[in-house]
This record gives sequence, structure tokens and C-alpha cells, in this order.
Amino acid sequence: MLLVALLATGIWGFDQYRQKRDYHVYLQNQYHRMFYELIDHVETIEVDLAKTMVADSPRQNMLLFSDVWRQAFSAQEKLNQLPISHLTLSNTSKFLTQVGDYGYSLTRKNADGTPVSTDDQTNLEQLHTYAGYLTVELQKLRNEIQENSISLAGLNREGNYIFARASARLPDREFTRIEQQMVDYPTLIYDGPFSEHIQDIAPRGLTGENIDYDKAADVARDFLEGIDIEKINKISNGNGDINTYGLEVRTRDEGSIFIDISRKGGHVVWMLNQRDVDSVNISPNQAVDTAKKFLEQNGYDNMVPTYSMRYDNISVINFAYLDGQVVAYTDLIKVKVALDNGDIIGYEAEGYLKAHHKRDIPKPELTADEARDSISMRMEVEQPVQLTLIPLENKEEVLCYEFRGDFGGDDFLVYINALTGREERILKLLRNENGVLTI
Amino acid sequence: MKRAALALTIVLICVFALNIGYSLYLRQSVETSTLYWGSTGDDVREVQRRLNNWGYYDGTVDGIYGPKTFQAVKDFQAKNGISTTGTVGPQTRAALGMPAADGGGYTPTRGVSSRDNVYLMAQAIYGEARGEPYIGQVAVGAVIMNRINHPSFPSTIAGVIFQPGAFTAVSDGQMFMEPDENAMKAARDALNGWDPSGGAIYYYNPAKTTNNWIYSRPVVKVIGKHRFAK
Repeated sequence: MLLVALLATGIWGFDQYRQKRDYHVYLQNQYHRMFYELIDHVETIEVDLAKTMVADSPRQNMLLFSDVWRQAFSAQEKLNQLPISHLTLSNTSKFLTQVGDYGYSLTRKNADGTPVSTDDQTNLEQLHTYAGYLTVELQKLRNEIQENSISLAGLNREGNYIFARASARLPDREFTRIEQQMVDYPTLIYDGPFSEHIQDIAPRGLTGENIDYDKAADVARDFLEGIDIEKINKISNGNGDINTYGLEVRTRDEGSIFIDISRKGGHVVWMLNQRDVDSVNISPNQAVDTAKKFLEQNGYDNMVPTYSMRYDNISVINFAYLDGQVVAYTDLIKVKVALDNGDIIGYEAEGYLKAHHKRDIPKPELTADEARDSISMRMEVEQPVQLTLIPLENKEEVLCYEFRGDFGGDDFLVYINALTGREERILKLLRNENGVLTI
Repeated sequence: MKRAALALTIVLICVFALNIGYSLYLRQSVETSTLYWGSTGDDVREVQRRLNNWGYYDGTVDGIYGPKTFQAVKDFQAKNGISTTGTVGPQTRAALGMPAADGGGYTPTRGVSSRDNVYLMAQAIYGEARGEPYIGQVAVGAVIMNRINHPSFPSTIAGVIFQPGAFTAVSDGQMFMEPDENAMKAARDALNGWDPSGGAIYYYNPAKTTNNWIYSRPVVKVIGKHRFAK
């Protein structure tokens, strides 16, 4: 009897062991694939960057830069799947993101016919040096992993690490060393979203004097007019992208509303009321009117609704600033309306506060009809055409005609630069029962 | 055996023939309408614009197929060895370099939505911050969004959430629970751009964290038990 039990346990145990080993091997194979592919990608980046030194035709440059972009994207993706702490990888990861982003920006420049500038040349030389360094270090690490049969799969088990051979920690240690070198690579200024100067843009829409906490509470009271407030608690002193006072407003019906007020100028940055909405008594159009009225009460007179979403018996309406005849898609405010009684239960103006400023919008060089010529004949265009200001990847604002149109049953928005006639952007509208979304 | 092979061949030939027939049928239905004297619209405008550029047409580009357009088309056809019908059929259209107009072979977009991400985000929020105040849950979602826009982190929602070791609830499998109503709401708010974290890319619970490095990061906000840092 005992023997049978022992045998059964033994078989069970062996089976468990085998399963565990299978999983381990599977995981190890995955990690090793990531690692080897990472090396391949980085090597290709190095070679591509080297080739750009001697490439002379826009055609060749474009192929190289778009390959850099693709390889860097894949490399970054693989790197971030390795079982190595993010803290150890963050600079290498940033390097790969920026190289890719830079490659994309140069691809675009080339497509516009702009030649590679001397600044770009210098950047490319330096990036090539760092890509070369990374290649050599990764190859060294690969050799050590091969010689010592280190399993990358063992790395994510922090708890076991006393039992693991010391050499198993080697990749982590090596990456730390690589990281220290990667800190010093040059600050890149170019026109992509990950360029250094764009990451550090200061909010432009914050105007006015600094306020104190009591004033912030007053602002909150005014903003939440009509709500029966029991008390206001200060919950945070933020120092984020926009410096704010974070307040929690307790209502008499035991709800709580969170609201952040900027220190500079006392603008409401966002507000969220988490109350449930159980029924629908007003239509989406009424909700838009309510939201617009609410914005006007708070001093935002020139806002036009651009799209909306509906879910959980609430409506989220996006507004953009109307500057004369031009819709500025840069200055955005979202308002959330409860469809039971039309309460404003959410507000988000970070986009507006970061981008809004007094602008000198140039006169269009092209008429809407002339701009129409830059649009594919395959699309049926609806009238009227709207002048808009749209933000590009580099946060530059460009004046465009917005054409709304249809192709084969799908709706598109096409933006044609009103000064140059360039097709700047194409958006696709997703319509469903919940509203309209753009992609 | 031989017979089976023969039968199979016949079936294959039939399928093949059907395929050809079907694609011919498709091609026919894609064929675009012919433009002639009296036609109007964007297609006519495009014909005029192209003929104008090449010097066949000197009237206004008004989208109306009139006598001048008719003559210009005939001239163009004569020059290009197409029978001079004065109408724009498939051959002339191709010679003008104009694409087929109506997209008959195109299927409108299906299934693209942002819902998949809402659920994934809600799972991460629920796993990481289910005991936290609502605003703290939105803030956790906002950190995920902020990471996507940060060069040191992956560039997709799934990439950020499943980065090895990035979130405890992902590492220990806790996130694979069904998220509650609040977490779903918080995920939507975070995806819609509400950011109570003030632009943070890290957060930690000081009672549970042993990592010294994280304490060196500048704290942006404290919400519930979490510190949000840059």
C-alpha cells in the first residue's frame, strides 16, 4: 500500500518536474530569441547609419532612414521584453526610441525633398558611434552567455538568486555597465515626438498670478456651482507637468469630486466626479448644449464641439478652440455630461492649458478649391470645408483645410496644408452607436 | 487510388475554374462608369485638370463635360492611339493615369475599436490598485499612458503592461481577474486623457517597496497609498 502511494507520488513528482522543465525551456527559448534578434537589429542600425554617411541620393537615404526606423522600433520592443529590470535598461531603451524616431523624422524630411543638413550629419555620426558601442557590448554579452551557458530565463526569479550561480546575474550587471555609457549620448533636437526639446515644452496657456490654497478652494466652489458641498480637503500638492493643488470635494449626498487647480492663474486642470449614472433622460444633443453652456459660464466662449463618445450613460464631448474662422485642434477641452440630469461630471483641459496662446494665424495661400486638387479623386468630398490648425508630431501647428469625405463606405478626414498644399494628415472616423472616434 | 487522385484533380480544376469565374465577375463589378458629354462631378474635373496640364484643354476646370472637354478628349485619344470616341472609358481612363473611381473591391473597416485596450487597461488597474480611491485608479492608468509617450518605455499599452517586472500584479498573475465596474470606468477615463498623476511615470507604495532607487525619483503626487513619481 505504502509502496503504491510512494510510487504514485514519485510518478506525479516526476511529471511535475518534467512540466516545469518544459516551461522553463520554452521561456528560455523565447528570451534567447529576443536577445539574439535584439543584437541583429542593433547591428543593422549600426550598418545603416554607417551607409548614410556615404549615401547621396534622396532615394537611398529614404530607404536607409526608414530601415533605421523599423529596426530601432523592433530592437526597442525586444529589449523591453527581456527579463531585466526596466531601471537597468531605461537609457538603452531611450536611445533606441530616439534613433527610430529620428529615422522616421528624416524619412519624412526626405519625402518632402529636404536634404540632410549638417546638424543631421553630426547627429548621425554620433548616433553611429553609440550604435557601434552597443553592438560590441551586446556581442560580448552574447559570448559570455554562450560560454557559461547562462539561461536568461533564470533571471526573473529574484527569490532564487542565492541558489543560482553568481554568473546568472551577469546579464543584469553587464546591462548596468552598458547603461552607464549610454547616459552620455548627445541630446537630440529634431522634429519628432521624442525629441528632447519637445519632451520639455512648458505649458503655454497658464496665465495669471500664483494663487494660494484658499483661493484654489474658491475656484473649485465656483466651478462646481449648484453642487451642495459639505467640505473641501486638500489631498495633494502636485508638481507635475502643470503645478496644481489637488482637492477632494465632499458633497452632502456623500459623493466625492476630485479637482485639480493650477497654482499659476488658478485654472481648473481637470475634474472627475465618480458618481454612477443609472438612467438616460436627455439626448446626446442636449448634452452637447449643456456642455457648451458650462464652458461659456467658465469663461471659455469660443469652443466648438468636435466629436463625442457615449458609454455608461454618460457622454464625453470634445471641444476645440475657434480662433476667428479657424478651429484650433491644439487647444482641446473634454467635458463629461451625465445623461440622467445633465450634470457636468468630468472636465479635462490639460491640452488647452498646455497649448493655448495668442496666435498670428497666417492667411491661406490656397483657396479651398485649389487645396481640393491635392486630394485623391477616389474620395467623395462633403461640403463645407473647414479651416483648421492641427498639431504635427513635433508640436508645430500648421494651418490646414479639413476635408471630410467618403471612400467605399468609410469616412475620412484629410488635412491639406493651406499654405503649401501638402497632404499633412489623414484621419479615419470610426462611427458606432457610442459616437464618433478618430484614428 | 488512381481513381481517387483523378477525382481530386477534377475537384481541384472545378474549384480553380470557379475561382477564375468569380474573380472575372468581381473585376466586372469593379469597372467604373464611362464619362461622356453631359457628365458632371469630381471625375470630370480630374479629367479636365489632367488634360489641362498636358495642354489638350484650355477651358475652365469646372467639372462639366462640355464641347471643349469633348474635343480635348478626342485630341488626347487620337494622340494616344485610342479610338476617338470622345468619351472616357476604361482605356482612356488608364491612359490618363486615373485610378478606378469607386473602390468596389474595398471592404469598409470592421472590428477596429479601442475596446480591447479598455479591458486590458482595466485588468492592470484592478490588479494593481483595487483598494485605492477612484482617483488613484485613474492615476495608475495614466502612468501606463504616460509611459507609452516616454522614450524609455515600450510604445504600446500591451508592451508597457507586460514589460517583465514592471507591475507586480502582472508578474504574479493577479491581473488576470475580471475587473470591476470602477476599474473599467477608471480605464476609460485614463484612455480619454484624464491624468490625476500629473505626468508621472512611476508609482510605488512606500510600505511595500524595498527598492532604494525609486525613492530617489521626484514625487509628483501622493494619492491614497501610492506615491507617483517622475
